Amino acid sequence: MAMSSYEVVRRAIEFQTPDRLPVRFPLLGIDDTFGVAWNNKGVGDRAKRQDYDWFGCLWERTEMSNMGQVKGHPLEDLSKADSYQWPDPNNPLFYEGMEERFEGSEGKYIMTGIGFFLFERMHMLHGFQNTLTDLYAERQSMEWLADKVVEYNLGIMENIHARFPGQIHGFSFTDDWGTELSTFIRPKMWNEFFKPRYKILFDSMHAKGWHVWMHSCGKVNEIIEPLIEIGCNVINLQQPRALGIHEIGERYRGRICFESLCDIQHTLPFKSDDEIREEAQLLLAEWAVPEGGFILSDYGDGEAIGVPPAKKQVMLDAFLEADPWRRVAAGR
Amino acid sequence: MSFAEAIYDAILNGDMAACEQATHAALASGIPAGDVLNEAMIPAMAEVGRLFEENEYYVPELLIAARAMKAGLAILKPLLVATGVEPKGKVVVGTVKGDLHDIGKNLVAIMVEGAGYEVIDLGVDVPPERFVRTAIEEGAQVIGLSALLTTTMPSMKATVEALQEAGVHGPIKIMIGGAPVTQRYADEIGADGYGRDAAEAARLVAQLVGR
Repeated sequence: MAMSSYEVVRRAIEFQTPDRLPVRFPLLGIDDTFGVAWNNKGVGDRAKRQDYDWFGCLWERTEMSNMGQVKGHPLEDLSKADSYQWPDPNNPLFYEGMEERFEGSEGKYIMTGIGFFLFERMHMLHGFQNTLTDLYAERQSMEWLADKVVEYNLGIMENIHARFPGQIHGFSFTDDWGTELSTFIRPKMWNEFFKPRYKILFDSMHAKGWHVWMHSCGKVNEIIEPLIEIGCNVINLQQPRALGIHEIGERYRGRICFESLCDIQHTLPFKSDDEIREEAQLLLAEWAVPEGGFILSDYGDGEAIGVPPAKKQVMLDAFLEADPWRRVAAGR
Repeated sequence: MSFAEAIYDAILNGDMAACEQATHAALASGIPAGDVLNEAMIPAMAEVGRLFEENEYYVPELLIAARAMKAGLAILKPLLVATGVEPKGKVVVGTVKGDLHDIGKNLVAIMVEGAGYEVIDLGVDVPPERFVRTAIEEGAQVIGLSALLTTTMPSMKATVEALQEAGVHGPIKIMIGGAPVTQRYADEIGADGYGRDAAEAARLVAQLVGR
């Protein structure tokens, strides 16, 4: 009997040999996971050119509703920190209606999460350049800020777990850590400042029975090792070319599960169908191991990267064609 | 330690107070403001750029170094104006139409300013005509375009075309950069240069301006 979606994803993450490639591709009708969102107003109202999220960060958008960035930082001036009203993770409104969102999740791998988790939330609150500068200049203030964000995130996780114990399998979050060339900050500083705080968060997720799923853009090669050390289970990487497909495979395959796809900057928008197929095969060959370690995941905002569904279909077909586990299962 | 060494070290260490102190000391000892800028501050920022490219420095180190330099430069500026020391050139920078990402653009502005040029930062979501109009009005020699999204890259091409239509592509050069941008793309659209990071962008400005 074929494994359930849940089982396929779990086995890929835990390196226990799924019977096929796990896929997260709702646009094309295949999704082994099922998202159950809480009422996070992470980016404000997308219909508005300007709007505030629940932290009071001001989002600005272009005419395209999916193009936005925080331009107003409520904790830009940390001398006002005492009067800042943090959102209350115990606010029941955050979780209202969440129960109904489990409908249709039978057999699936169920996920929830927080966008803009720690570093991203810090710089949305305090400003990007301010945050990076103050990691040197105002270290104590940055420690306070980071700890407050950790406290908030732990509160959200506790509330979700208390309401739905044993019903959620994975917790995903985003923190973009890289430019095209390196991490924003030196890995030593990341290890000293951020790693212990992520560990607290990851330990809390694991204690609830959740896998840890992290997304980061950019060339984050140097922080994958410490992420593995503190228990990150799945890392979502969407720019394999910037990272270096061979290097990442050589250093990390079999030790963390990759959630990925063909490069969203250089391959999907610009390359031919054949080149997309080649990269799909290469990714499975370099990043997966016989026991698992790879989940195909779509980049949801095709409009932002200029990739039409037809191109994505080529990629999906290529991954399914090259699926190493289905081939093995078929041969059993 | 010479004045130049003291300022150089202060900038490399990102020590704003030390940079201010050393700048005051240099001026008090009779060293011209232009020499302080050209012999200490600009070489220090060039070294910061080199260290950034070598992954010895990361974004925070670059930012605190630039902050230290700016503190020193603020002391020099009135004297530079009074003594007729001009910036090496003028550069208009911005993130192209449809794109709001500004981190890369801001780093480029910091490094170009640190190399001794005046930077006019138009911000984000800047239409082609505004780049061209500002560059003409301000007498800039270079326009620097940034884009993070593949979908906003065509606006770079549109800006090159707008510059050509205005008949000033030549006297005014265009350089481009950003995550999905490549030298090949720069060649394709007729841009005058591509910088892979902020330090390279500052060197490129020097090449394009010729000083």
